[in-house]
Amino acid sequence: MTGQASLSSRPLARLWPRRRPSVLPGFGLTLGFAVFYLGLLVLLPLAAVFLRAAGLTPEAFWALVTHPRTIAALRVSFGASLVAAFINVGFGALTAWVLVRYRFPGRRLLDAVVDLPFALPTAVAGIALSSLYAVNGPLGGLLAPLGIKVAYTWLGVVVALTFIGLPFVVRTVQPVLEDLDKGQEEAAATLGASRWQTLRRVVLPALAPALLTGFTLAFARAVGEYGSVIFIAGNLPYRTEIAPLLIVIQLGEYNYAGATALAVVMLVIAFVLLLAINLLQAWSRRRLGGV
Amino acid sequence: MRIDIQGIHKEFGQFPALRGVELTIGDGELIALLGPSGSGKTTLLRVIAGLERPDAGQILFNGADMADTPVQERNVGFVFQHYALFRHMTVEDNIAFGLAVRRGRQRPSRAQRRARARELLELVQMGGLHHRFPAQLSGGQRQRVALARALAIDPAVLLLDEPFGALDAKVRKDLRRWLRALHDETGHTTVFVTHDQEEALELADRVVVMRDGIIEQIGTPEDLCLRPATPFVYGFLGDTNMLAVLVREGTAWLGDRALALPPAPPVPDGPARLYVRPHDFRFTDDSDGAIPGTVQAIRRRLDALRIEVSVGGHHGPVEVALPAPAPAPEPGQTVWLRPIAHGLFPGGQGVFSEYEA
Repeated sequence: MTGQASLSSRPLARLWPRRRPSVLPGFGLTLGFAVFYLGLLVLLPLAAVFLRAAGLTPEAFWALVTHPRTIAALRVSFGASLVAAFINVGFGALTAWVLVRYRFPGRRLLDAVVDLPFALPTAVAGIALSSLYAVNGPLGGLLAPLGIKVAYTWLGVVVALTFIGLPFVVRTVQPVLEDLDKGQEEAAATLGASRWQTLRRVVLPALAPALLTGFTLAFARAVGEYGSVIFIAGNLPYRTEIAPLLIVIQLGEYNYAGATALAVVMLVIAFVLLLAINLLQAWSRRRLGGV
Repeated sequence: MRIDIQGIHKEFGQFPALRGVELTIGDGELIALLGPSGSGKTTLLRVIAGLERPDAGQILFNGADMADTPVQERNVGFVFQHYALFRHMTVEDNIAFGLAVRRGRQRPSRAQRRARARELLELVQMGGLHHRFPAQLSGGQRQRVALARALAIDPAVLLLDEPFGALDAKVRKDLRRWLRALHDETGHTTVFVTHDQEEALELADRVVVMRDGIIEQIGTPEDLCLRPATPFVYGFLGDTNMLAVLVREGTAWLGDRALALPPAPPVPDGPARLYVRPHDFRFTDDSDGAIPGTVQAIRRRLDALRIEVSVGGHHGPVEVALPAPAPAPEPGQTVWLRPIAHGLFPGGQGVFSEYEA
């Protein structure tokens, strides 16, 4: 009781410190606009999805989302997206390193090529990839004798998702790498650290927040990807069928409630994962002493 | 540890950064590399550390050639101009880094590393700040952490690149005195780079003056101030006036006047440059052998009156410094100037008059 009394007697401003002195005026206006804009652009359509999904009875909803085919599709979508994001973090960081640290002829060209997956219509990418990796295609033909099949397998899904996610990692790591003081690496060397120790203890920790951001973006993009995957995946139910495709199939059958129910499940899983990664990122940023 | 630097050449692309540098640094010496930017002083420091590979020449540590010894194994403590602290590590982890990356039995236990880090933090007068991150420190504190980190590996030589360059004047002066005391206490062979002559003269046992990749002069602060070896050193260390003169039969002529200069070794006949520092001029009533001029302006400084005197010919005004209480001439007044010390350079090597005791 006494605790509550002291709480209520505290000035309101301290409970809700929304105004800090700023060089730019207009906190209220800009906050209002940002909330309105996000609401109109993001939250409203998402709310519509939830509303539509509510058209299903709870039993029907549950039956749909726990159907083995649904679960298999979700597993393919999120599993392949995670694998693709991991691959992108590794090779995207390497690409960024090469672009930032070395000077070679054609560097600017290579730099521009990185953005291609951004600009290319995903269907074009899908067609190109599937013809390349088909058993009679130039790359698929080489891999087939080794017993590796890419097109129309789970591996193909990963390849497509890796392709579209690459620029996210390169473009987030690149500026951080450019700002990274080379002196830190030299300092580590004078203190006796091997190259591997310098990379592991000095360079990677400095890049960690950027790598996590890149991972998040690549992952989020991959989860929502549709166009490029359907051409190379083969779309075999239970094996290479992705969740977005399942939604399109439901739409094709005019089962809007079913489609939105699947969308809701995807949204919730994606939101939980992204939130977790963001928390991890905040933690790693704090460790950098940026406070 | 003794360091021998022999015939070091280093080019960056077409730009020659070092052109045949010879230098011997004695065990426990505190040496300053002094020069304007682009003189190659930082490059020389990095070559000693092994951060740059010389195109020609040798670096010997106690007589052993270091050409095939990578920077990791040279055991040098290097303090970078912008500190290069590891931002994601606490102060303690920064200092203990050099111990933590050692391998096998040479690697001290975690407790030993922590103890060593704390000990060094006390040494650099930052006890209690071990848990801070570099971003939470002031410039002077970062500098000291960088120094502690370099000292943690018990380096054979301590190399500092513009150690006080990024600090404000007051902090710089304190740290300078403190570094000298630390050097006297720990006895590390130390080489530091600076473009600040005052810093070099105050701190170093010997100063190496560099320009355009070559050494202009090596000497004690005393040598440099009283016997500058080249016109460049004369001009770089403190203010100086330069007068173009002609030497004939051992006498320097300014225009049609024979100058009476303090006794100095003779200079060959021909054109020469006469250097006189502002505080080495005296006003005189005796016009014989003195330089005539007209007072143009008088400025008050803390330590002296600065008087600009035009001496005619092609020269700009000559600057004369008078000790504060001296009676000052009036602007427009005609005066006679007599140098009490000077340097005379006939193009090549110069001669100097010594101050009379």
